Amino acid sequence: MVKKAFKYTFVYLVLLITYIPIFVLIAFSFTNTTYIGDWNGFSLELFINLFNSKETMIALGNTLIIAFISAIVSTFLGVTGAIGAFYSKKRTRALYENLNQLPVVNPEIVIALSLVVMFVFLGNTIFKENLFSFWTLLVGHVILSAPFVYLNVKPKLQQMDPSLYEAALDLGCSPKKALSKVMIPQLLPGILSGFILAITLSLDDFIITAFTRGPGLLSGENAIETLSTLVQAKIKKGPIPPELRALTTIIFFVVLIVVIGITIYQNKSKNRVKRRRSF
Amino acid sequence: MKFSLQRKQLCIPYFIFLILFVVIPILFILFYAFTDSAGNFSLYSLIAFFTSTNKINVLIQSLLFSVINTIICLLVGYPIAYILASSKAKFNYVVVMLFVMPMWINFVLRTGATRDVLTWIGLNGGQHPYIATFIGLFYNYLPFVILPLYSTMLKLDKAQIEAASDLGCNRFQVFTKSIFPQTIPGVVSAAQMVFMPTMSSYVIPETLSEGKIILFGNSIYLGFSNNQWNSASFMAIIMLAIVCISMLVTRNYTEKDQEGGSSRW
Amino acid sequence: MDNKNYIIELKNVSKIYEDGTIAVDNFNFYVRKGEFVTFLGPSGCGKSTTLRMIAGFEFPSKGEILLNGKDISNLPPNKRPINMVFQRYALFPHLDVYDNIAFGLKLKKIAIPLKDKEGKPVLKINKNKVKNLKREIYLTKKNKHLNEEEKETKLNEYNLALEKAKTTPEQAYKYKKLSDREIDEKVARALKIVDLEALEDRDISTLSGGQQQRVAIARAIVNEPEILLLDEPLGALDLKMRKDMQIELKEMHTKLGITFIYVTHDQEEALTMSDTVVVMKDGLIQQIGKPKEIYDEPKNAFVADFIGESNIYNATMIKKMSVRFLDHNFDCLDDFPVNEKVDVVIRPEDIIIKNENEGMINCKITTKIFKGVNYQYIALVGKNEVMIKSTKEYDVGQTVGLDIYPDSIQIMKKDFTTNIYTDAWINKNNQVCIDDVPFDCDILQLVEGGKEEDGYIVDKKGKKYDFNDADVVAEVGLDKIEIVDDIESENSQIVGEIVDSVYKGDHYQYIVRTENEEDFVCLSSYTYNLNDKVGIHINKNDIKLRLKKEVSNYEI
Repeated sequence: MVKKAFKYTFVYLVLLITYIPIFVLIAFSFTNTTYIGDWNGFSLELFINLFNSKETMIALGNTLIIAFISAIVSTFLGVTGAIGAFYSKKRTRALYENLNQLPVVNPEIVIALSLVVMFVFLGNTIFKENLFSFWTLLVGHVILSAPFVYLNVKPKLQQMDPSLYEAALDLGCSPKKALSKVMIPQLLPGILSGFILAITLSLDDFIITAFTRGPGLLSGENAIETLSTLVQAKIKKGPIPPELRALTTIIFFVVLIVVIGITIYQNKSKNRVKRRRSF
Repeated sequence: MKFSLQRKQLCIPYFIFLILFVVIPILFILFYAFTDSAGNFSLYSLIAFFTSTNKINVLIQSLLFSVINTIICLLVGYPIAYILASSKAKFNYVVVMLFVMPMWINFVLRTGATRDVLTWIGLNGGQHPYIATFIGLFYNYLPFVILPLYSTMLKLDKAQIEAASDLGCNRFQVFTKSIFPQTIPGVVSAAQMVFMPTMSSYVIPETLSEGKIILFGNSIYLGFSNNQWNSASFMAIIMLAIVCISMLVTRNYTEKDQEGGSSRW
Repeated sequence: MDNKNYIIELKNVSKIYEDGTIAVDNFNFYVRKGEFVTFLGPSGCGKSTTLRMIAGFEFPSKGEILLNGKDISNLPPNKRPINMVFQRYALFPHLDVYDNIAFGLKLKKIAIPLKDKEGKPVLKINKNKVKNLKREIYLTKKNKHLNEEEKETKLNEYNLALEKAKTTPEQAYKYKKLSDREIDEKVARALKIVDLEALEDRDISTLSGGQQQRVAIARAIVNEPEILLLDEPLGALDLKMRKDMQIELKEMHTKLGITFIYVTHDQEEALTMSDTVVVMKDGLIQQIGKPKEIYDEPKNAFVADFIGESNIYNATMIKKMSVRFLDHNFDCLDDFPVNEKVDVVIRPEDIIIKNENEGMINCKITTKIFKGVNYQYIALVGKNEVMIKSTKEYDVGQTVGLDIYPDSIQIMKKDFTTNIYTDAWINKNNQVCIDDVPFDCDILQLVEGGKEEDGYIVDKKGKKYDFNDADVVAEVGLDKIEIVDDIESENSQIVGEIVDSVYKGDHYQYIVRTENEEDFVCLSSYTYNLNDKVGIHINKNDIKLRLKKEVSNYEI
């Protein structure tokens, strides 16, 4: 018993340590001092400042737009890629697998640099204009997340009974219908987790954004600022701006709610009772 | 035959995308790494890299940082994953989720927070760059270690462990002869999750050491911001080479795992 | 010939995969309307491939499949009035029982002839037909397995039909989906047939194996197919449930009156349920017949061994209607040429045990197993084992007499008397290459009175021969091939896998198949299991060679 208690003490101690920076930030989001460590009494001023900070709101908006669009594109490419590769011949499939693995193992900074080098070259020689824009940024983010969508869908394909597709054809589906009525519903859990992963990867990204961004989106003529690039620029000069502490608090609770929601949903869907419409 | 063909064709857009934006760009940096600014073939970048003690130092320092960080993360993460996976309590899954949850908060923000808190308690990066950087790296990569280790340990063959103790192993031997060998694929993929990203990390050393520690990622970033395409490309090629070597070294341990095909991150 | 009763007909159908493996070899076969046909054979015999070709998941490389006299060889599965019950059911896990069964119905469209205002049929060019014919032409052009002539005739036929379809208008149809009420009624009826009335709202994952099986059957029959295909549908059920389902399936067949084509590797299942059994092996039909015919009169040792328990012996015809095996001459009913080596099959229950010296032969009982309805004995006659089933009780060690009457002795042509390799050739070291592996051989036998001089073969007249690259036919007796356990050893000249074994009283007959699909038939008294990897050794002097061309071609 003592041993067990000791074990769990270790686990919770490490857990607590990992949360210290976040908790400190959250605590000091309810006071209006410049530096953490100074407590100036309870206040919600930082939250008001946050919503009044145009710069932060634009960055937040950009981040969400990019995350959403890139996740949709990545999911489309990753899912079609995984299905296509899975039903290809052995050798072609091995080639596809390796190609897909390339951006996974390749350090982000190498991907980013290689894209930049190519875009600069093409911009200088062929298009004769600066190519960096929302589109180059989107390409960067899709490269980051599509391979992971692929990897999330693949195990679902492996688990799927191969005769399901044939059964659908046998019962009168055209190949397209069999895909949408049987294959996609079967792969849905993998597609969804891939989509969520794509969103998180995009939200978190700094390097690729910093390399491939150009002007556009909510930033207008300026280079697109996302949360990552904005925060990076700020913390290079000094402490985290006070209003971003408030943002951290909001993000933390949103994430918490989402995580709790997912956990409850997963538990519920296991013992869900189905009803049926009747005439 | 017509219908099987249609499913195969689905992957065409994705693989055109991969060729255009992954393979061709790599060829571009290969080209830049071995040419000079005028576009002629040149080994200038290579010679410059290997004759500059500064750059070699950065390479060695990055490798050391990666190795040490990987070891620290594994030393802490392995027992945690083992404890959480060994008992059946449903709550343990929630604890794993709690370890992973910080990953959903913007990582630049988290890094900034770490630095501010360290500064508050007197461990500021300007005076203690190494400690601060290691703490930052550890914070960021611990979840990447726990996740693969936990999922490997959930799949441990209980019968094999029981067989080991039945055949006369004591608890320590059970661990070294049965449990640890079974978890090696998880350890390898956890190490892969930490090693290369540490080497190429930019934000963490930059922020936490206040610019005092330069890892490989930082020097590529520097090359990029100073428009030194050739030397930056050459360094990228070195990173790629290290990736390839580490993949080759760990290949035998991970293959089984990949066929299982459940790598999530 | 009256083909009207044939619902499905396979004509010279072959399936050759891209890697060259032949799954089905020149299949000729028909099914009558309403028949219950079973394809029976070990795994990999091509039975499932045949079924999948009928379903439309695979297209034949050669030959044609006719449904009611119409060629459907290249029709995709969703256009065939055929439904299938899959091996692991393949129920859609995201749908409940009702939606699974209604799946096909919801897709179904009923054709209603179009009429204009005056009630005259509307005539239009049938675009679908044109499209299908174009596809047939495309597929035929790409087919690698047809020769030019076959292609030519087929293409001409299709082109003519295409011209006709393009120019002559036909009755046009409009298509209507089934109404919800119609679907509901049909599903309810199907559920009733499979006895699952109360379960329509259940999730698939909450059903037992047996229930899932029933849903799978309901899902197929609700579409009222002309043929129901069943691919080892009872394989995943436990023994008791399997027996019950066998009876139910048989009843369902009688009730529904549709044609069933059933695939199984379980001989008992095949014998109890079917009207006709097709025994297959290596993509070839071994025997087609009623269950009783197949059991009582197996055409070869494989069928005899695969179906039921049997004693199989090497035997020799000694005179008209008399065969010798177990060191005794038995009268028999089959007529084979005198002195021919044959296989005989005797079912264990057809052997009659008597007291010592009262039967035709004597034997000594070595094992005795109580099987409930009877005893199963193994007895020794000389070195040969005899399996006997009898209700009478004898003790182990006892000597008894045996009677085997002529109508119990089934005589079959021997499958193999010798291994013949027609693709063999001589290499420059004067070895014979079988399956591209060199074997030492006595090359001198190719020339009368030959001897070797300076690496050349010289005949008695002094003529020199060089047999490098000569094509020969090599012959090796079954008993001359030795199986080697250690595949790494020098004795193991070629490695293969045991793909077939038949017990013949005192020895086994094995077929060892190499990677390149060359078969070596050999005899051994040791036990090997299917799929064991073994080596093969052939002694130099046991290979008989025959030149394909005249010997003078190799003179120098």
